[in-house]
Amino acid sequence: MHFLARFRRRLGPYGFVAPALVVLCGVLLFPLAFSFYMSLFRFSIARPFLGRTFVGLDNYVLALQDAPFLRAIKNTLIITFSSLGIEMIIGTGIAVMLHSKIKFESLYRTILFFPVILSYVVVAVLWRIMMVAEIGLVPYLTGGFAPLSNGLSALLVVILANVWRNIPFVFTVVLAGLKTLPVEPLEAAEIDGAQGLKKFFYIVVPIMKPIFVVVLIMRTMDCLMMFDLVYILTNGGPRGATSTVSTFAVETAFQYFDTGYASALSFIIFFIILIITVLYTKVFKTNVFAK
Amino acid sequence: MKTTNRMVVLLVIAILSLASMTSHAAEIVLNVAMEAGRMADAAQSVVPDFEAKYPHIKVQIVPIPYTQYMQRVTTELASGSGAFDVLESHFLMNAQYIPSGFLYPLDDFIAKYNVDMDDFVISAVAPGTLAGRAAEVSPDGKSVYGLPYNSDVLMMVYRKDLYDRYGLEYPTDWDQAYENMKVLKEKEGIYGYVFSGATHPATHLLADFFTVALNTGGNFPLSPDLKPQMNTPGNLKALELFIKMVEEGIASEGTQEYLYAEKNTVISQGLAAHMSQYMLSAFFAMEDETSSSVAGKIDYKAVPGGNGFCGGWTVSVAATSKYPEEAFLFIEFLTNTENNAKLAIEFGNGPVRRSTILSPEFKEAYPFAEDLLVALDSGQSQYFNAPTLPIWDRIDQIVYTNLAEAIYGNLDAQEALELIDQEVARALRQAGY
Amino acid sequence: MKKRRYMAVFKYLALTLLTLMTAFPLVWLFLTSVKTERQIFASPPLFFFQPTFSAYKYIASSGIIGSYFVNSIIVSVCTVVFTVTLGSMCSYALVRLKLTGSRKLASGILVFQMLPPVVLVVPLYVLMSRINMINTHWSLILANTAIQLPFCIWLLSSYFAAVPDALEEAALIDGASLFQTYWRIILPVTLPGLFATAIFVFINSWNEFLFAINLTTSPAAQTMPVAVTGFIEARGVAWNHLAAAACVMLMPGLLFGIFARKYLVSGLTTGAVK
Repeated sequence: MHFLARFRRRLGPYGFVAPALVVLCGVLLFPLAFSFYMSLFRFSIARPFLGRTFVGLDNYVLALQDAPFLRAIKNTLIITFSSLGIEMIIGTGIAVMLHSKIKFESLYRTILFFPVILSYVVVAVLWRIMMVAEIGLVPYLTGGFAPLSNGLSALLVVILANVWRNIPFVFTVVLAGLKTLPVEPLEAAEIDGAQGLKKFFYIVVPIMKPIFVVVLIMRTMDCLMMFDLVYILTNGGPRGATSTVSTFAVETAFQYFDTGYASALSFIIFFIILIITVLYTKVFKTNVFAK
Repeated sequence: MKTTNRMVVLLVIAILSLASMTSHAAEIVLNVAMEAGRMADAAQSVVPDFEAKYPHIKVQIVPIPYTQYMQRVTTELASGSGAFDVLESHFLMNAQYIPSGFLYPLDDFIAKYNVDMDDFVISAVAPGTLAGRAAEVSPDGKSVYGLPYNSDVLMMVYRKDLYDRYGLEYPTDWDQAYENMKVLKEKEGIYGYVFSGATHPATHLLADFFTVALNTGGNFPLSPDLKPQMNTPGNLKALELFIKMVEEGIASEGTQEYLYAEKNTVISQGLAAHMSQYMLSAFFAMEDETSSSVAGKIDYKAVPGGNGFCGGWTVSVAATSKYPEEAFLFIEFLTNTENNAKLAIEFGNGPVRRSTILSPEFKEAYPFAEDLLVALDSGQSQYFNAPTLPIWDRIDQIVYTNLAEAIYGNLDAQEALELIDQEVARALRQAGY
Repeated sequence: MKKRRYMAVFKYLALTLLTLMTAFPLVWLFLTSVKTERQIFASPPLFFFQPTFSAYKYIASSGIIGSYFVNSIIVSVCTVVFTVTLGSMCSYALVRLKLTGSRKLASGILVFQMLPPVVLVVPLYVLMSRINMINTHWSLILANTAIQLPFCIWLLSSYFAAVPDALEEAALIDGASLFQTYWRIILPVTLPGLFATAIFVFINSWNEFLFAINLTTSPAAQTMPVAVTGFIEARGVAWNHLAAAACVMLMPGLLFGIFARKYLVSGLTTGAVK
């Protein structure tokens, strides 16, 4: 009896964790492993009559030489880091402005907050309506220039839509961080002048840095994985000018049904994200995992 | 507090059970996947008559947007989940589906219900039989997997009124056609030509390109023994014509975003003078007086040179269907003489039966009926003579992507054709050919 | 003094401009949804016109609300139920109960957060095809739950960490079992956090598109995002219908944004700001 009770007490906590772990292992880990297994073959789920051939890491080698895929990687990196730069600057700016004493703060905050809860599908539709040749506002204002039919401008539109949707995330988090800053030392610093500036940085930076890093990491991952927005706004067009790694992999998997190759592509994407995240931890010397 | 808790729990359980509920219908319901828009509407119109004739069968049309159609249907068939009993498909799709065993063989049903296959136009039968080669690649050696539903061939649609006004003659080749276009651009200030420049997800650029190339001595991208042969003088001439059109403003840069429906809009709003278009869809758009400003001003002829590019859809039964025979009854009904005529006349659905095209009602509705029959019978497609490759969509993508790059000024014409041959060869190698 | 005034003017100008830039596309979306086709194609674009709700009527009558909207609700609610239940239990155990290897486990779970959904969708499609699960609600519920679980656990961990130890100790002294402690004592205290997480999971599931478009194939199980894309066809897009569908789709988010903004903000910030 005593033993059973102790056993239950010892095991109880694991019972709490188990269900979640079962789901994670069954629906994330196992398919991941299966995907890697698939990536070692050349086969198509839509063309079972072609059978499947084991090619080892050949798919990966092919992928790294596949010009459209490399272009997708380039586009993804451009979109990610351009968006990051704009979001962090404007987002922080908004947070700083909202943090100071101003009227209508609540009104500004409510409206500025809105885009972040929108689906990327809605965001894409919204921007597409404004940009399309026949009915768009922008073509009308620019005398016929349709931003979505030119490679460079289409990329800019994607960045614009992305930034529009996500700046609220940045400013909400940064604002919350600013609100945790102690008030008096800052006011004192402001009065003290140059001496105060040093004190200012000693107070602000340690508190705000981890917040910035978290925002940076979350936004980076989100941008690197970008699919919905591009798929609906431009579908990777015109002719692959705005394709992202995710749209390319999904296109390979569900349009050309090149299942093995698509699996390899998606693993490469996963590695890219992992590498960038590890780089971040090295550069910013913070460990997001320490909790 | 406790009662709200209970209510929440009950609500959640109710919703959870909705998720696992399956409908246990006593009657047979056929799910029919159709391209949203005209085709789905046309199919929907025959449903009441069908259900009246076969009271134990109900039909549910599932319209899917054209841009997602092939992807959605292939995803569904490959997953084997049985969501669709009937689907429409074209050559590209059937080339994958038939060897994969996704479609139900219809030979026995055709014999049982005495379907008159000879009445169908040749190019319309091709997709469902892979131009007569289905038996070679099908898992059970059967030869018919789809009944022709819709036929398409590109014909020249042009402003007859402007031709009359400026004394122009219908061109016999594309050089002459180009001259006419230049005249009309100068004198009327409208675009000489409009074509489909959009490259995703469809192959309309290919249709437009080969419509010209087949008449300038060009050819399809693959030879019957799978050699890439895009880089030929005939194709180069056609490509240079397109490049010139865009450069000299005979066709607008906006064509980059056009699939096949947008061309209709451009002509019907009087913005361009010529286009090559799938016939009946053009006719409806042009002559609809409520939205078209060129009703009665348009004439339709075989394209200069006479070699037409054709496409077409068949309706098939999914192999995973629980009711293959009932599904066959529906597709047989949809494509019988009476309905084919009705759909052609009322919805502009491309007719597939000889008897329909030659019938007086059809001729009355579409004066160009005889031209149409000739075009359909002689229509060609890149899929007809080459083997049934499962990677045609990849090859098409290589061709139209590079053609578009050249047409809109990012690539030199000769280079583009060479690139196509190279990339096609690589794709074939990768697929194991 | 003057510098202060310039700063203030700049601030108000900038904020107002940004607010307009934020709101305008949304307003334009709504305007498009109440125009007729002809008004949409009008040049110059119309700002003042006679609105019509025919697009919404079309959406209501075309069965979209019936199938897609309902499917979205089913999938989202079920995902929330599973994610929050499993996630809170797991998070509680990791944060408050001293388990061996909990730190490693937590790191492992965080790695899953970096998993792009695209890596998952292909094997899920293949595996689910084999067990005939494609085009069912469960395919989406499972996929969404799995994808959101790591984030949910991470988010809840902050809320659980904030619970004072005294509560737990008191319960243990009173002889409560682990589960009773969790259910009766800890959960009620973290209710705001649970609620914030639930809202987040709901919104993410509602907006989820990648799995929806690839794991489901017919209106039997497809969700709103797929319905919206259905209006972008080659036939010349029905812009007013598209805009109306998009407006319908953003309704839940809008409602949460108005009535539950506090929770949304809490959810966004809690993980990042301690």
